[in-house]
Amino acid sequence: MGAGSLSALGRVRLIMLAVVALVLQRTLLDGLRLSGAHPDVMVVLVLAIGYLGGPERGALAGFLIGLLVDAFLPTPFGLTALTWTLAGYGAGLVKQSVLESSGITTALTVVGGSMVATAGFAVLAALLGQPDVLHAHLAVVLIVVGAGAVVLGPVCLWACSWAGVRAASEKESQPGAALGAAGAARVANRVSR
Amino acid sequence: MAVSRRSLRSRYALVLLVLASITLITLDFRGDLRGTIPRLQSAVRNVFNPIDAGVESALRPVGNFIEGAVRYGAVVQENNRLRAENGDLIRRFEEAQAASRQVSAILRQAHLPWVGSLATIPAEVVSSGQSNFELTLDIDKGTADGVAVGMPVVSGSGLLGRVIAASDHRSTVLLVTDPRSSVAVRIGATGPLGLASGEGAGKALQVGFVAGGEHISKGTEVFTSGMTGALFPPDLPVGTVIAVRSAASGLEQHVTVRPSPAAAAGEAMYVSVIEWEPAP
Repeated sequence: MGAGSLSALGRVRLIMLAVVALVLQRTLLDGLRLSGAHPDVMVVLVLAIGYLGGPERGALAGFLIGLLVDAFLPTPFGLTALTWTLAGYGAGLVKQSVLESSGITTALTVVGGSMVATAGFAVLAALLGQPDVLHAHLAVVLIVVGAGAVVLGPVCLWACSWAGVRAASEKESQPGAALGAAGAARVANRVSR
Repeated sequence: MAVSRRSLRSRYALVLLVLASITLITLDFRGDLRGTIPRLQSAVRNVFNPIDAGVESALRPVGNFIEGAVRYGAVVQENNRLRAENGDLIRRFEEAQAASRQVSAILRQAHLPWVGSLATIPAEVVSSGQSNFELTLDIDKGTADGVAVGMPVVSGSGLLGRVIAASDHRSTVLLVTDPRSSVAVRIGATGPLGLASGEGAGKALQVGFVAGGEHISKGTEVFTSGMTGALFPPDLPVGTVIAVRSAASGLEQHVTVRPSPAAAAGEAMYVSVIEWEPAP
């Protein structure tokens, strides 16, 4: 579903990316505690895939990566998958609704999106009987996750365009195929500068 | 037309995935699927744990270097303090060992259980938990080493928490400071009972349901009560009383307890899992 236009190599690269990101998260980022909160590369990866690949691929990536992360969390299984499905879809919608993506829209989507997704996770967890997550600590978590996304966003966008993630429309409308790929790379380039 | 068909398709995909997530959450919540979800989680952890362990040992020097550089002043200060404390502790340890030998001899004669006689599994903390919302730690021992869900975990300075998830070689420990954690406690060696609840990272524990009328002074040590059906064995040190407030009715007292330093900071290097499981 949706991954139809992504080559087999691209899919393997994406899976590799998710695995590397998870290992990096668990070994390095989880230990980078600032006032008890740590940055989150996984949500940034989902948003990057959604932004570059469109709503459908973003939702699917959010669901699968969310499930992977859920395996390590004590919160109800599927909660991260649900939140990130919506986050990935949303990131794709933002890209579709702007005429030309600029560094600002990219940054807003990735940084703002990671904060919104994290806040959404907290709200859903609270609705599911863990009201203590909606605490003053949430503000710290959002700031740390957002600041982390500023650094991790360009890396994830670059990595996703390396894996060949691009919106289905860019590939299907023939004359624009090459342009689409170049466009995605340009976006990643601009952000990483 | 093509665009609208595509957006329709992605909307279908969204609805499908959202429904799938909600189904999973519901099944997990209701405890259906007979433990399939925990088994699945444990399987995923088992795949990632060796990779994590390898990468971690490669990255650790880098992390240590950065942390040492950033916190140099604090590290030197802490080191000096620890040296002083260490000398003091070695002396006290010698004294305590003599006392503990006497206590275990007496208790053995009286056929009473003592927490000092419970077997422990030493473990190393490998990471602070993945969640930004739960106060957990991951340790490098799991079911293959004898760790089971529910076992209490202590750091050198007192009760740290209990195991809430275990895979083959990793376990997750929920800290006593987490708002979801409650510990049945006794204030002082023979004082009133209460229920200590976590209030979040770095915050003191609040002990409720403490009978009014009994005098509690600041500095009193608080231990697990270990009453029938309790989640912890008796006599594990939990912390120290730092404030006492009487309820308006006078029937109850609210006691604030500072947890052990490791639990308060939410970090420890080495911990012990006590081979004790709550009665089912």
